[in-house]
Amino acid sequence: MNLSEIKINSFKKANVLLSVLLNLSLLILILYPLLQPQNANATVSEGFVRFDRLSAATTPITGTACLKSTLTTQSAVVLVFPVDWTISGTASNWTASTTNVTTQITDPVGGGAAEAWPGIGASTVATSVTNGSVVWPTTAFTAGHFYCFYFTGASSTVGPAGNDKSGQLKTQGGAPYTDSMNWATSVVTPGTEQITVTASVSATMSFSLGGNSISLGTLSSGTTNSGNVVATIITNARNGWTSWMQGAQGSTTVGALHSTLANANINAPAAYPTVSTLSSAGGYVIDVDATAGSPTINTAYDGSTTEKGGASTTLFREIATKTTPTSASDQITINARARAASTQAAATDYTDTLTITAAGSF
Amino acid sequence: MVVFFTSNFLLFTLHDNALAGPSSSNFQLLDYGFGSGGTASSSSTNYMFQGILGEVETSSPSSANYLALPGLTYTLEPNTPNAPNLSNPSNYYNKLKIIIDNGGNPSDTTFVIQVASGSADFSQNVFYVQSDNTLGTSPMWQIYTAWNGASGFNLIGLNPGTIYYARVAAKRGTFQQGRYSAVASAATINPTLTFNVQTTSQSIPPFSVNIGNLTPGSVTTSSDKITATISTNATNGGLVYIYGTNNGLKTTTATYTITSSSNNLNLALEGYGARGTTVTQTSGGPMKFDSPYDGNGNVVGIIDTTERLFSDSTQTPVIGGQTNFELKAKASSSTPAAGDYVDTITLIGTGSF
Repeated sequence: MNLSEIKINSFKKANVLLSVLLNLSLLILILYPLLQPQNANATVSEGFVRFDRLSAATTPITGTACLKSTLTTQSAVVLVFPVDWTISGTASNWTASTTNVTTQITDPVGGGAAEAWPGIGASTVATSVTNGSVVWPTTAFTAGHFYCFYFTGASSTVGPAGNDKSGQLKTQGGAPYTDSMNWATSVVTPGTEQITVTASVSATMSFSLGGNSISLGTLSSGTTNSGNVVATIITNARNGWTSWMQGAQGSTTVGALHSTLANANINAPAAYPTVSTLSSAGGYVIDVDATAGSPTINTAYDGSTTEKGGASTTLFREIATKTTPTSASDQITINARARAASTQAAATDYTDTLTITAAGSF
Repeated sequence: MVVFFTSNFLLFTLHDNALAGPSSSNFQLLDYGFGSGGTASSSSTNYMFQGILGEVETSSPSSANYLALPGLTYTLEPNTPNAPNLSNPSNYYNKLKIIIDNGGNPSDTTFVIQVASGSADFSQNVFYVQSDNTLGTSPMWQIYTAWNGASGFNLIGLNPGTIYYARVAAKRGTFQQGRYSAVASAATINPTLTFNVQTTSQSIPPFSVNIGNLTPGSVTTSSDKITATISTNATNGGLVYIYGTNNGLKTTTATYTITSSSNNLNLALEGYGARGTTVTQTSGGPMKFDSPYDGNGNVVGIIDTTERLFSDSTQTPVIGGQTNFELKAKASSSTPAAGDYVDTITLIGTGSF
């Protein structure tokens, strides 16, 4: 019994010794990187880790990492965040991208465009996250090239405000790292790195007529006489502008040239809003054309020929409109057209007074 | 008697054992001998003879860094240099400056610089400075001028926040390495970066700058200027980036954006952007504006959603590096009237380490 017990004890001791040796070996393997000489390599000539927001509590964590190295053995990149940041331990929450790197990032030292970090594509997912160190797979550098990638960490949060928040940007591909760059950043209280910029643009409106009289001359039954004025509208009204016209003679639906001497009218052939022609009968119409800025002409005054037009009235009627601010300036041409009927009373004072107005829709 | 042969020299020493010697009532010569007092060297085309007759010293006076040894070999050893000058003159986090002493040795004397981190007695983490100023595991012997003489050089590739110890040994010829000098030490610090933003009229957030009412056809400049201050010991300097959220000044009510672009607003119908006004620094740098924010007059740089380099400290660490800039905008006659044109500018300070 005693002998047996002694054997068992010896066996246990051997197991214990073996266990100790194995654990010691494991411990050495784990600590090997830490037991390595405490000199950093000097292969990194420049690099930075730039965060899109420096505000505390920003989530997700997004930013840009860049590195230039003389080594060409990289197989992974490791981004080590400050210890007081909340870093998601789920690898799939961490993606890297090189989309637009070449057009958006410039080497602050060399001055040339950055290059896409080798091995990182449009959306490369991290392979592991351990104690605030995120690892993405990459491929090897070309020596002396400036490489960058964007990173996004979902469910991760920038830590509390403070200066000198330090981390590392390292690469793997040697033992234990081929490149190692220490960096620091400043975390500010929320919003401290942002400025709200405001401005206003006042409402503007200008309106002018190219003339204040239209002489139609001596009317006859054989031809249609015309004359015009140009109205210019400039406004920054966000919904554009509208122009109206009101005649002084006639009625609320049929305008006219009126002669006091003859006590007679030359009326529009058709009441508002019908467009009529003077080609076969006497009458008085107003035709509006878009001259500049492409305003929309009201159909009631959109005569398609030099004989056509609509009835001016003693009410303000919309003649043109535009739904956007003017470009340089908008212009409309207001044509007055008249023809005398063969029975029209002779007189030299046929007159109407048109009032043109416009307003911006702000 | 010990005889040394080399390919080109024959070295010859002869020693007597020191014996108790003559004495008087007050003194006794306990350790004495007769040396040759040196002898003329004999030489031929290929060989030279140097000889000395002396005694073997029974004791070797020594201190921590010096040891007096008898014999020709000792007399041919170089002088032990003084401790090197190891310092961190500018808040370095990955390098230290070192100047070695040549100990009054001839110009063909070579020196090795031994460095240890975390062990003042060089018992662990021991390296040698290489010709590229990095640390390596193999001794690198160079003459004094190759170590940049009295000007010294920066020992690079070091870890932040670490104490480094350095000592120097000299050597002439192949076998005559002297003892290491006294030890000097210095420490790297950790990388640092501080960043701050304020406006002319606001030192605490939230910050806002009102450019004001834009008169069509005229350039309006913000009365409030913006200042970003950066301090960092980053080797390649501090960098200040800018970006906006709206690609311009955007109005929601009028559904319109005064688009930002790098432009001369005197010539553009409308626009919006930033222009650097002054840069200053307490030390280091100097700070400078980067294109397109370095324009004059009404030439502005774009503020869009891309993070763009606004200023930097000329690839040099900087303390109190200030970037001051203003905002400018111009409306055209067709820029929709609205009172809610807005953009949000974000400034980022980072270091190129």
